[in-house]
Amino acid sequence: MTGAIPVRIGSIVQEAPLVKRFRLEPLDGRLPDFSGGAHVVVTMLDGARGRRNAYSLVNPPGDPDRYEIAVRRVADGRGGSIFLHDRVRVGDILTVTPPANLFPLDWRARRHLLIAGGIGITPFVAMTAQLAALGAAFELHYAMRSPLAGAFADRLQQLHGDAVHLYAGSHGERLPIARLIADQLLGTHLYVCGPARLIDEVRATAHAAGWPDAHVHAERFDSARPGAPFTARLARSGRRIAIETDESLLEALEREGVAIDSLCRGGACGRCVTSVAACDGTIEHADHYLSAADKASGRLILPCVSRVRGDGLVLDL
Amino acid sequence: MSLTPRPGTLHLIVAEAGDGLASALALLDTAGDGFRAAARLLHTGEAPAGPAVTVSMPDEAALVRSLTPALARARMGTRLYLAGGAGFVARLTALALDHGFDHGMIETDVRSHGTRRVQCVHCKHVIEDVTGTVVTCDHCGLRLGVRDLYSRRLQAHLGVCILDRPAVAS
Repeated sequence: MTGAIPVRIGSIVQEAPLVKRFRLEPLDGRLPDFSGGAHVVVTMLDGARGRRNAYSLVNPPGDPDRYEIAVRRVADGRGGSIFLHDRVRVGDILTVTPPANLFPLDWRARRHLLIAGGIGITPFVAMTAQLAALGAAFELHYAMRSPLAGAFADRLQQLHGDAVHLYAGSHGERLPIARLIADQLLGTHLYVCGPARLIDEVRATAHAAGWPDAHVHAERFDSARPGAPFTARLARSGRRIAIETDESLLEALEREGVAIDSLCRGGACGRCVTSVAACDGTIEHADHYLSAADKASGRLILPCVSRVRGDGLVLDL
Repeated sequence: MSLTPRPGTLHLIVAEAGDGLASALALLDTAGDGFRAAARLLHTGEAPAGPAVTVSMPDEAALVRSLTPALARARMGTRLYLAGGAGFVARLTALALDHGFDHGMIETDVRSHGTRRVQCVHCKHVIEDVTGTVVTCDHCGLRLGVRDLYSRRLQAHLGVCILDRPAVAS
């Protein structure tokens, strides 16, 4: 969370019924460059309440005058996307972190096969721009609920023509995952982003078909889920922090000024891993980072996504 | 290291006569029916007895001629298994890498009885079947010390010139 960059909302565009695209402009100077697949963490101040969500950058890399993010309105989330959709106006100031990329293209690939489900399209918008600019071979397969619901679908098809394949669930169209994976040039790398069940199916299919795991890349679109309140006690200072229903443990610690390093805020990168000294209840691990043994030990938690069911826990902080 | 069956849609098994072929046949023996149904074995030397689907080639050059179109047609999901001497495995690995394979798609079983493949770093000639730690390059004639470092890219140990200084007269 170092080096926060203040940005002004330059424009807000409705990309799909539930998806808005926000253009973020620097207050002064230039924005750091990024590569396709990168994200920023957006801090939203709602009164005294701070919310932080990670969003993929969807504009083509190489433009120091803007970042663009696409936000799907999640009605039952912790409220960050609702705040952006309903409360943020053109001209408002937010802060973002410098971009980080946990889903980069592998440039050793002879060909890139991109598979997106729903709002999982967002990292691929910048990735396809970068692939096209460099003349790399790629194909994008994008599943959406209906043609109307598919953010960026028309634009991507205009930009990349036959490389883009769309599948509308409302028309009975399904991603032909097995067929796509069965017939790819040797040296192809596969990238998948979307709901967990899509990622799991693509990964399992590719593995069973003999793809080395190093050729399969995934980005999950998880963020902290709301849950019952609990308490965190800090072992060294003895401070007690209450975690509300609609905030993550990480957000509560940040609200209280406790410095925790974090990067993806989605349980993927492990940057925010924190030692647990004791727990009065059960840790509900929601990350994809800790091993099964680590989770079972109860000694570690990723506060960006995981909560406690029970009274609370003592953190080794 | 014996060969381990991996998940895959096509298993190309390539073996050198002798221990390499024995390793390939052991792989086919231990793997399941699904693996055998998707497997092809190409090897040098005499055809083994038994029901395995094998293609026997008189020598390595003929084997390479037969294998190359299959490597060129290979799609993601093809797995390559190589068994034989260090030189055989190294040359076929290089051929596969040229066709877009990477090390993650190739299983190897080197049966070389203590011999090593050494590249002379000065003239780039590769000397096969080196047994000691000092060897004379049979291309440029330099005396080389064989380094323990193994280059996966070159598929060889590196041989670096060692100077033979005459003993100092006392």
